[in-house]
Amino acid sequence: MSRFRFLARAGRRLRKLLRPVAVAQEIAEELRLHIRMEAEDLMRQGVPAAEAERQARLAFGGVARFTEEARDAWPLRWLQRIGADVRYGLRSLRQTPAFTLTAIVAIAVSIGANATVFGAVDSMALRSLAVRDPSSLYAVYGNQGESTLLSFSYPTYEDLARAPAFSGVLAFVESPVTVSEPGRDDAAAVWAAHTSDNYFSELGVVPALGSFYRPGDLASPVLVISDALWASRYARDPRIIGRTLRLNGSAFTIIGVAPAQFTGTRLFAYDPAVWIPAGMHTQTIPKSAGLLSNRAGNGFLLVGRVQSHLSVAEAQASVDRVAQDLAARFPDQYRALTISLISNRTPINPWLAPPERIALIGRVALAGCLLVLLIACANVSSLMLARTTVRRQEMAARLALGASRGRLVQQLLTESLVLASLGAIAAIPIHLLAARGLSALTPTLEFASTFRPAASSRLLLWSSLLTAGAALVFGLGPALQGAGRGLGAVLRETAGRGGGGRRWAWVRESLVVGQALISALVLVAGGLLVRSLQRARALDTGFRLDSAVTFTVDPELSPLYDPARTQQFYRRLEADLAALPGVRASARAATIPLDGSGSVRRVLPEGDAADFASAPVAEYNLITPGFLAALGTPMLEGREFTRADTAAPEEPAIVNAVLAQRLWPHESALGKRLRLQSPTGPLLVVVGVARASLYRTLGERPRSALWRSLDRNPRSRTVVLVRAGGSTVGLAAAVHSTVRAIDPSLPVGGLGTLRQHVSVAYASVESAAAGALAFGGLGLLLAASGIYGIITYAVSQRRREIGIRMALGAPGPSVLRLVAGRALVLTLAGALIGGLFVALVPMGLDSLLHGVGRDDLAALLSATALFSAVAVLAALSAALRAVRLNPMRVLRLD
Amino acid sequence: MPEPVEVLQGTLDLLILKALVLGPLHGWGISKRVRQLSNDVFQVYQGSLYPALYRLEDKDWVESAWDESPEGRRVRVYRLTPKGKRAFVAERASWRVFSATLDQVLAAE
Repeated sequence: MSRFRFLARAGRRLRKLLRPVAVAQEIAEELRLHIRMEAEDLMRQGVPAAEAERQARLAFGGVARFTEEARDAWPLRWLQRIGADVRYGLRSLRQTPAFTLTAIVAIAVSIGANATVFGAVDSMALRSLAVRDPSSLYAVYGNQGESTLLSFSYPTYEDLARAPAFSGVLAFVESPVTVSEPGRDDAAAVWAAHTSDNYFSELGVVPALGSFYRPGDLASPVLVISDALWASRYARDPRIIGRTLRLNGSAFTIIGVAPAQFTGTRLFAYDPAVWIPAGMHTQTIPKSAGLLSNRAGNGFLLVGRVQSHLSVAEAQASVDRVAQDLAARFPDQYRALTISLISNRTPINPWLAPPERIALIGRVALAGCLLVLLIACANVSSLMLARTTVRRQEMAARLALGASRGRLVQQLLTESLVLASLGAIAAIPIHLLAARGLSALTPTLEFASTFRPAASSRLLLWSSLLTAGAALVFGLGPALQGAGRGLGAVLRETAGRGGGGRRWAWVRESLVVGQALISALVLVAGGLLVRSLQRARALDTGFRLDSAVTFTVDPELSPLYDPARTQQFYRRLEADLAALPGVRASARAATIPLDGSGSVRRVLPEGDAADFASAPVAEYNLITPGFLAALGTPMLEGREFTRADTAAPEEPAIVNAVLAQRLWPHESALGKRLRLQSPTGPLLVVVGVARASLYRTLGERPRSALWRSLDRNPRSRTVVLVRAGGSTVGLAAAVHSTVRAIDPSLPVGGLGTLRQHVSVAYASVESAAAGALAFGGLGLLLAASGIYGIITYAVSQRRREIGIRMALGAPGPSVLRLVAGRALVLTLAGALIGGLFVALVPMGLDSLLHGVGRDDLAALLSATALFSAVAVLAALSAALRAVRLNPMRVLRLD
Repeated sequence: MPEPVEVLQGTLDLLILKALVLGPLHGWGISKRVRQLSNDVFQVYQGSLYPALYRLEDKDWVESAWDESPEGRRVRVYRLTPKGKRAFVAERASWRVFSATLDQVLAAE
């Protein structure tokens, strides 16, 4: 019996939950019936029908209150109340637009900033490789004494792969190749990976289309293309499988497309556009004969999958044994070899960016963002506090009318959540803009690279959830304060001086100082970086960045080219380029200054007995006649190379003024001889002295430089510089068709203006300035909303005092001073400390600043002025609301 | 006739239980019976009655079912559960202690 009752009860509850509308209708019906019966009863006692009806309704005891309490009797009633609370919250937010807007903007900007920074960090350090069980993958590197072995030969790879620690090891070697197809004249240079045949099966990547090569396919003429190449070259045509693609002229069959998320295992590296079995290297790169059999070679990067039951230490012990064995068998090559295993769960690049460093940068950036979010939430919280103070009467009245405290707290928390949600919605466009801005900052590269922080809904969701959590936590204080006191307390308090949160005043005040300090600090740093960027842009690089186009060609990637044919090609290219309308000069070099490449050589004057180990180091480049003129670097003495130099008995050299001054301080360098690299190195005679320019970075000290003739030291891969008389509009296209007219199968790499080509050099300053400015702006906004919140709160606390003062005739300005004075003093003090901090404490800024000191007055003053202006504005707009108070109304309210 | 008094909070449940001990009733019937039993002194407002009924139902002290009234109306009839009967006895006992004590306090010189 009791069991049935239990079941019946459970069923009833379930029904209430599942069919709230039906239940509500039943209740309504019951109530109508009740009133009907009451009225009939009254009529039986002789009351007229209409009057009976009226009395029955009257006896009902207030419909509104009934509904509130009847709802309280429902299970999960909070669910049904939320809708009402949200509507109520929206209504009350609409009544205070200034508050609402300030809060939403503060929340939106901090969510947007969080999502964007998180995205950048995620794409560097957090995102796992899109492969099976990425955490068991380890990059395998070698160490020998001080030096690091980044790559191994194929036979060594096979030895290491036999270490029992690994369930499998894969190897790959990366290089550029030219892709072309018969019948298409758009040959392109792309980044290629020659891999071991177990590459895809061991990584556990699933093809987006077709299939991958498998163990046993090491020498099959097949290839896998990346999603990016599939999209850019084939518009995602699903019929691509089985088609033929030529790599450096050799035919391969496309068997699969890699998924979009998979772009290799490396960070800060070019993304492979094609993957080819390593055994095919002789077809793609004829020069690489012996790649798989030569023990003494290198080039293969290794990634191993550690057996799942082994710890890293056990795996390390196992590879140590293999390393000792290799050292014993090949003492010349592998003396004292040790092997390092570095987690490859995320894309890594241990020699460019140690994983610990990346993780640290990531953590600092994330911590900064969380701090920003925290400050934003604290500001919103103080704004909310001000509101609840103003709404004391409303709360007290509702309490007196029978609403429970929990009910009011829930109402206020719902309002915080509504606010947070509105902020999250407004954050979407901010995040999209910021992400676009960030990827626009990444420099132009010759091949595609994954490091592109993109906007993502996942990141927004993450940040929004964080904000919702923070809204609850920060809303709780104001909510408890608002709902926590009964009517009696409120009435008593208004009779006195008011201000329940006074105990916490010092917390809020230090918050204001801290915020002002941090945002002023970031803003000043941003100002310095912007000034530095202005200087950098105006900086004399020593050559002319405008009106020039550059590109890279490497004919011998194709098996059809030998050195003789390459020289023939270049001669024709130079002639054809010079004949283009608008072209003033064209020349070639091994590298272009400031483009991130470049090499150095040791240089000693002929006859100097000093050791080469302590000889001066000079920037080293190979150039054709007229290159320096085309670049815009003037000769100070002597001449540039000429065609005649190619056959001259002595090899000529050009030095820059820095090297000339260093080697021959008191005489002319012309006609002097110098030796390169070693006592037996080439002997060169100086024929010219060029003005020094910048070579590596914008901030560098003057460097020595030396040029040799490219015609005398020919090479396949060179950078071509085309200098136009005026505008470069259309020049790139004309250059491209010139190359195609000579040989349509030769890809043109990195075709763009000279300014784009050297954008790498400007990237660090630009991104630091943009980042600092964005954060400075964010700090400004947060500080403004913080100041506004504090003053609004102060005003709400002292309404009565202000009212009395104004009623007694206090002039507006004195009231302004009363409410805004303290907050302003606090803020400006914070800003001053922040500015001084930047000027006096080095924070790694110096390496980013070019031609601007940390104490640059213009930057300091303009940032501080901007900050103060915003602070005063925020304070004034909050304080003006106080002055506009109608004294009589305020006093009556209390 | 004495002025009607709204029942004290906390005593409403006891009054409802008492009304139902005498037999199943619909909502209006309960308020009517309380009025009769108190000689029209206690006024049970419906705004309090129904929430109290739902609360008691949730506590499993009363149960309800739609039924036909003698006048042929579809009405919701409430009756005590065995648990409700036990609760009534317990509540009544504690109320007696409370009211006797209160009397004693008020009578003290």
